[in-house]
Amino acid sequence: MSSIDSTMDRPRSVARPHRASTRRPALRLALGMAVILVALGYLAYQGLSNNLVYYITPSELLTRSPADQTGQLRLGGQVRPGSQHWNAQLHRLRFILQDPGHGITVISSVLPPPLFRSGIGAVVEGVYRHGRFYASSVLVKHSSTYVAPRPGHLPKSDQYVRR
Amino acid sequence: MASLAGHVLTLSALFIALGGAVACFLGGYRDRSDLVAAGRIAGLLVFGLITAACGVMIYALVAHDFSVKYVADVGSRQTPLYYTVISLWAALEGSILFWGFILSLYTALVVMLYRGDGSRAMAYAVGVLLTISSFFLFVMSGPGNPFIRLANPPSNGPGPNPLLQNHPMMGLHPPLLYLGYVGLSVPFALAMGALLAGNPRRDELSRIRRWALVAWAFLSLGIIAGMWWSYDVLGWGGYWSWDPVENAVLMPWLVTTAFLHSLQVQQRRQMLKTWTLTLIVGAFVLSIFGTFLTRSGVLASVHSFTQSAIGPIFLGFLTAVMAVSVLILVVRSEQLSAPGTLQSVVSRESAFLLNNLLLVALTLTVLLGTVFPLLAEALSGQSLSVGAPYFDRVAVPIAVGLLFLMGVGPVLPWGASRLEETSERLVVPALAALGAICLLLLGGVRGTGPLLLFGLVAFVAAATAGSIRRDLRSRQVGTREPWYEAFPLLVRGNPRRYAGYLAHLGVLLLVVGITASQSFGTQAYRTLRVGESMTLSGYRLTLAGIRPDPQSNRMVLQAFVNVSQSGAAKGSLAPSINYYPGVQQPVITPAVHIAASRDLYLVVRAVDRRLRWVSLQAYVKPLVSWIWFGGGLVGLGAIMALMPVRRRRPAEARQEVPLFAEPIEVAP
Repeated sequence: MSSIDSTMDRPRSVARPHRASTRRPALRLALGMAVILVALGYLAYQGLSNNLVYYITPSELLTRSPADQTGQLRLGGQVRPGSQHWNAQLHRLRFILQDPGHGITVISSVLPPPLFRSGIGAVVEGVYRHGRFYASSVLVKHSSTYVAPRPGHLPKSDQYVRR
Repeated sequence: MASLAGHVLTLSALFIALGGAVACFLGGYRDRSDLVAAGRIAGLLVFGLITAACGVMIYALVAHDFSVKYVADVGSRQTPLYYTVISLWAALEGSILFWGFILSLYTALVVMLYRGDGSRAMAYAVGVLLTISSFFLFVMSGPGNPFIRLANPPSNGPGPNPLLQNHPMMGLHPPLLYLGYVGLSVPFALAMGALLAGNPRRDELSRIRRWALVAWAFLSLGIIAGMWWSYDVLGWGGYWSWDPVENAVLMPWLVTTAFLHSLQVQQRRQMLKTWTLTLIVGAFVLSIFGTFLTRSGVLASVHSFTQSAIGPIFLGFLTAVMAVSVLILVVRSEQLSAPGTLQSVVSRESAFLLNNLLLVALTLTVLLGTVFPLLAEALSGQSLSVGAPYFDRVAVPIAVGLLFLMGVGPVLPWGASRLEETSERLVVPALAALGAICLLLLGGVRGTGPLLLFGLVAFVAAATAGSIRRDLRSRQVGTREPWYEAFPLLVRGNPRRYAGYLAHLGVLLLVVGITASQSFGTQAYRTLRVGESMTLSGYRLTLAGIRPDPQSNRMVLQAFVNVSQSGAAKGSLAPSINYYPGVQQPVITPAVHIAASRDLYLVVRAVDRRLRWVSLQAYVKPLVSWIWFGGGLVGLGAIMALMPVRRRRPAEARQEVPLFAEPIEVAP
């Protein structure tokens, strides 16, 4: 096998004088590729900086001074299992968004995405007033959506819908 | 009992795999064929043992043996038999067992298929496969043990995640993905074996290609099946959300796609050997990385992954695999430097190079978006998530570039360029693109992005049709066959080329389906009382009734919706909302009316407990079925590419004139 390689190597070293002329297309292509890469890198940078969703956690919000709790905020956390209450007549969803420390009641007038469920990570955007968060948008955090819940995370109650 | 049997089986498999790996490496290194033979037998034994372990687990699941912790976690007496059996892969431990099973199956296949190959490279390849098996068996016998025994078994379990027992596709989609994901180990092992033994030969590269194609076919079909599952189960009217779980599968697929393309340049022009081998190594590394990402809990939070030992172990394995493969590639890179050089910028090989660049760039983009939140949280403690628009924004331009290359590539000649001829060949495709855009504009289609993409699809289709026509012409010059006789012979004579066209056709259908359904879908949301109606895109939807349907494992509330279009009844759809015991959030099952032109997709978002009204969300999505059809064609293309090629004489293979220009079979 190695003998085949060495014979295949030989023409290359013989052809070396020609390489100066044959290297140019490779160089030109490399330059073109570099331009494309830079453009794509810029696109990725732009895309990333415009689409990062920063958020604060419930604990962070509660430790802020009242002056810093005003204005449009993004709050991220876990939907406390079993805390959702959907009022279909008013089209209003109420749930508790929690982190290991605290939970905050969120009132949303917008329909959450269908992936929204107990225990999932969510980011809500809106205003904080009188101890409640009024959300104008509910984002489900792209996270372990399909991963089976660990048994400890399952709500314990055995609840069927009964007529 | 079952847990003891399972544990003994996996433990003995671990020791046999380790011993076999050592025997293969040592036997290969010292040219001891007896040791290599022992290593191969170890490969077969490991397959037998893991198969038996899987059998034990399935038995425990079916027999509801809740003394096995895994069964107590995912099983329940109410779950139907089908979903009980497939809950083998419903959670972490079981899926690692299943992973090990598939890997040992592939190992046994490699051992059996190449039993006549006594080369050092093959011995090392089996050694590499057994090493990977050892790692998974180690995880199985320690931190990810599926056979842990519970001292106080419960009388019943919670059953698998409701999402996973809501659709029969769950029996097909994960095995396909695993076959693809784990299948990447084979080309990786063959490449590593060949590299450890020296410089991979041509036939060894063909072997790597073949197995990469097998994995790629399964990955493609698995991804499509997953999209279908997501569309049919999750009820948000979409099929792809740039979820890390999806990205984890997409990345190895993209890199394997790049490998399959760059290998053609390698085989044809003797270029890019190191690069090509790097790609297949990269695809395997990404498959391990994907497993780490989805199975370690790192996605929930960076800080949660240290809670189980699986995360750090996977990270360690990943680092080791990367370090060893990079080391081997660097050591061999001098020998690998290929004799071919690029002769012209305008040539098919540079089209392939650009294709590789774009595919790898797309992979890196997806990787960046997937791990950025993790890195940010780990490094700066900031909580953030990357929105789907990031992925769309970067992926769409790259996809446009790839599509363009898909049209131009097959038209360009290998080696030196003949610019005039090439541009002549692109006149008709360009006109086709313009024509398609004009027709669509006349038909009322608006939007720059969709029009551009549809135009490109027409461009690629016309360019490919032109190439096929030229092939046909040059064949007919020799044989004077009518086209309907010539075409099948042409395809049979060049299965790889036509397999590529078939896969490309599938991609075109995918692009049309994705573009149309993403750009021109409509939706409406209403709360309907029984008897009330809503309208959407010409459909009139009337709530006929709500029916409770208690089943063994769940309570199903079905809403019957009568569909009519301009007065004519179109039938009835029954989306439902399912309540599982012990799970508070109900799982919704959408009802979809699938048609070639557009899907009508209904979801019940909420239902009155006294069954007087439902909140109904309706989507109309054009051309979604094209995605499934296109995905199927991609898979079919991969299978066709696996068909053996007739051996050519070296002199013929090197000719500039395409092979199909010659009369292969002269008609009498």
